[in-house]
Amino acid sequence: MYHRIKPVLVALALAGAGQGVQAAYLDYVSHLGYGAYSAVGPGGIVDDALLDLSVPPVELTFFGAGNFASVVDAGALDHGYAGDAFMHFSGSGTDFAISLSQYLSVQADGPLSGITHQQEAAVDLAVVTMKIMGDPGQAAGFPVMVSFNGGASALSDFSSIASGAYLSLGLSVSRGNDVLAEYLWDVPSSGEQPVSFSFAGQVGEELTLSAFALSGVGLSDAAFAASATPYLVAESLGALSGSLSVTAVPEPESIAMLLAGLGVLGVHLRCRGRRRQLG
Amino acid sequence: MTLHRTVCAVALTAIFSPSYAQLACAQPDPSPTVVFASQDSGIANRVVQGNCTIEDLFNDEQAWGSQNAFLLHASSVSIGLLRQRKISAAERSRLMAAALQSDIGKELKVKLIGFNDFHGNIKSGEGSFSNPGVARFATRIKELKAANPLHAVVSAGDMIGASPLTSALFKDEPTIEAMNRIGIDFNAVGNHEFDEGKAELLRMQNGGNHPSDLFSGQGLPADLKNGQFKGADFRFLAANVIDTNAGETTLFPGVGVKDFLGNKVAFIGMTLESTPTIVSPAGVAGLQFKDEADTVNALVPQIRAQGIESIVVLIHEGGFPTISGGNCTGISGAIVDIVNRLDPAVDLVISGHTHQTYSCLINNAAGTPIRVTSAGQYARMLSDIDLTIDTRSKDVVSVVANNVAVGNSSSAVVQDPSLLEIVDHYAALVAVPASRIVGTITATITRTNNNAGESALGDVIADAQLAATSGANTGAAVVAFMNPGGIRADLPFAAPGKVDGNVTYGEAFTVQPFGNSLVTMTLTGAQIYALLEQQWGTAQPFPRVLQVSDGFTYSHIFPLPLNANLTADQGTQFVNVLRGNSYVVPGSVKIGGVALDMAGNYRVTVNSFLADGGDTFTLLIGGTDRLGGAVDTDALEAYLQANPGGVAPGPQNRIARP
Repeated sequence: MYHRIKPVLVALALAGAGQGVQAAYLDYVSHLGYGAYSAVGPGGIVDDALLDLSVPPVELTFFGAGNFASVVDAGALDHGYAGDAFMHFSGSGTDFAISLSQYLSVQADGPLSGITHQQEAAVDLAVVTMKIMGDPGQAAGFPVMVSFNGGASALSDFSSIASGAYLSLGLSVSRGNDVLAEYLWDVPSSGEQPVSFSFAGQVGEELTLSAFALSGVGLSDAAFAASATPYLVAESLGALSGSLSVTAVPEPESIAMLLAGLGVLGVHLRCRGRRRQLG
Repeated sequence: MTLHRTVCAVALTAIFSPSYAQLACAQPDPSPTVVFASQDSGIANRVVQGNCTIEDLFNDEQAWGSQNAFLLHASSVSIGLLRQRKISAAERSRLMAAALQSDIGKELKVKLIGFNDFHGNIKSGEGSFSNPGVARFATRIKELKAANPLHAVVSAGDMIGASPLTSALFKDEPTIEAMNRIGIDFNAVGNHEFDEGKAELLRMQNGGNHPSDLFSGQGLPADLKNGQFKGADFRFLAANVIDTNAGETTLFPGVGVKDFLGNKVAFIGMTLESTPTIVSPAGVAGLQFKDEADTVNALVPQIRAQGIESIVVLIHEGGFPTISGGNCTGISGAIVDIVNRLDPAVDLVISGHTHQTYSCLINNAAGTPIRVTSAGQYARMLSDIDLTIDTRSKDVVSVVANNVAVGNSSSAVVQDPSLLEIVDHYAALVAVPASRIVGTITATITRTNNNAGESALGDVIADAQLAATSGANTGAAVVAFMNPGGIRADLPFAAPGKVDGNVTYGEAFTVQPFGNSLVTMTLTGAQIYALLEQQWGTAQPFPRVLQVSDGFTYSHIFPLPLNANLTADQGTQFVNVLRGNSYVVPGSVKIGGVALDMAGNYRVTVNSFLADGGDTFTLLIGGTDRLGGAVDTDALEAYLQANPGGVAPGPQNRIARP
């Protein structure tokens, strides 16, 4: 489930740009987040955590990567992850990115059987509290439009021997307990999706953003014949990124600009379409 | 194609097609494994896109404003590679682990290029053979800029004022235009920025032609705005200069900030508090000059409140190293006390005013040594300073400074054609006014000394300076002293292109090209004796005999004939055993035939260079009741005009060496 970009919003943005309106923006208030990787299997337990490298109030960063080998009788399970989440706050917009990749492969120097293993990774920006800041002249309560524009990308490559495989991405923005916009992707396969939404807000109010990337895979009593090359059990990637922006809701006299913006957009698209056809 | 899909495609292209799409990789990185800084990921490097290897796609060599910025870059590049199945997820994990461990982005190097006391020396060789000119200066700056794209070029004052004719005649607009072309960031005001007063200084910043001077607005079309002088593209800074007509606001902003990939450096710019003592009163009317260290320390909390921790002070005040060139042991001067009182948050001080070259460590208020630099004078030197900033704390963690020579007027340094264009333009324009007749002389007046150290031209110049400052309103001076090194040429009776006996403005300017202004101060009789002994003081490289005005007489017994100033090569004669001794004959110093009273007060005129302790006449720094006066060439012109029958060579009978 995700929201599509509404044409009218693009036009609103153009109208705003046409007036030279300086965009309002989001300020960092606080954050709570974590990220972890854990694996339970023949080699025992692996635990790893993402580092919180955040430099508030400008940068939020969680980052971690690890490669592990769980030795079994006649081989090894190689597994690991790389996960991160970034937010960058500035007056010109708030950039956001979250990603998580993981893998599991089995080296069978001799026949293996009864292999049971489960690995899970999570990057979770649980609560990022932000405040809508207005331009000079935009007092608290001034109406604005908050928009997110970005996309999600996934690679989901689980072999048939894998068990308990999952990969999902999510992003939501709330006002108190009210979810204003939400994007969720339980990734069924590799692909790309645009992610866009927008909602009305007002200068001075606080919003909370939550985002996560989760992934896991395992083996349940699995058996492998001896092989010179490793078995690739799982390779996955989920990534979601984009930017949040805040624009002033235009005054009525901006309707002309709005229409002009729509017109320009229409012409532009027609031209693009023609070029494509010619090319 | 639907609107929806168009916008989506654009959005996704932006996000998942990193900039490497444009990379040509004409010379692919041949590293066998992917290495971030010195951190080897162990991942085999290989061609993955066109000619580009994995190593090429990660910009680990470029500067990153934070570790997080680099990690985001590494993450997004590796997402793209994994998405295209160019690398495996296992390889991505190893690459990201190496990216994290590489520490790339934890520190950022910023280059500061500092200079001071440029004094409008745009033309190579003008005033002195040693002056390389702004075109060589620009080339050196360009080289330093090229060494690090993250840089700032900053000046610690006296960029303009006391300039040679090629800049001075055009109200120093040529210098501003030259700096605009070079691309500099900030100039802290110095005392000479105030030589022509507040309004003129504001015009230097804001542009517009001078209200009356016809030599204003003569720049090349590219340097003008709406046909008039454009003003400075860079910012003047004046943290300690209060415009008393405008409340408590400073004449210019006190602080300039430059952002380096999210790491901001604040530059606090200011002139010396005692600027009013060395500038004519008209120049500083309506202005108040505040204590330097107090001003900095008051600004520091305001700067830090903005999240800025890297703080550089640009100050037009300086020190005197014991040995020219940078030996800082025993450095003296006002800068020492100022730095001793500075808030420890200040990371670097770029100083000036004393025209000295040094890179010293002086203790701040916490007793911690901080770097203090100065880069000589007249475009001859630049301070090449590397700041290392911790991108997390945003503070400077190390400062490395080297003073580098620009060269001289004959050095092989390429002259930047863009700057040479400005210099040639103004040099052509200056030719006519340089031929203006300012007076007449009866014979060639030379700067050749007699055995006592006195020259005919020295006499004339000292007399001109006394005449300009002897009035009750102009200083009430009773004697003028002129440094011999400030007399750069003879005044010729005959020369091509002029009538015999005429003195052209160009000739007068060539004799005194420094544009020093006159300063009248009070010294005691004892101080005057001590001043004369400094002529052969321990710090002098050779005896420097001050030229004296009419009525001032004395005898000395210096043991060598002084029919020339000994050069450094001749210094073997001026051995240490000669230096620092008392040679002035006691009781011989007289004014108008009356012996000096050791305790009496005397009004003494010198040029601003000497007044600041130049040529190691440090005793003059202690002169009291200072009053600024006319520019030296104007004083000479007035003196020539006041003697329409022609000025004769000086009598050389004031200093005796029996």
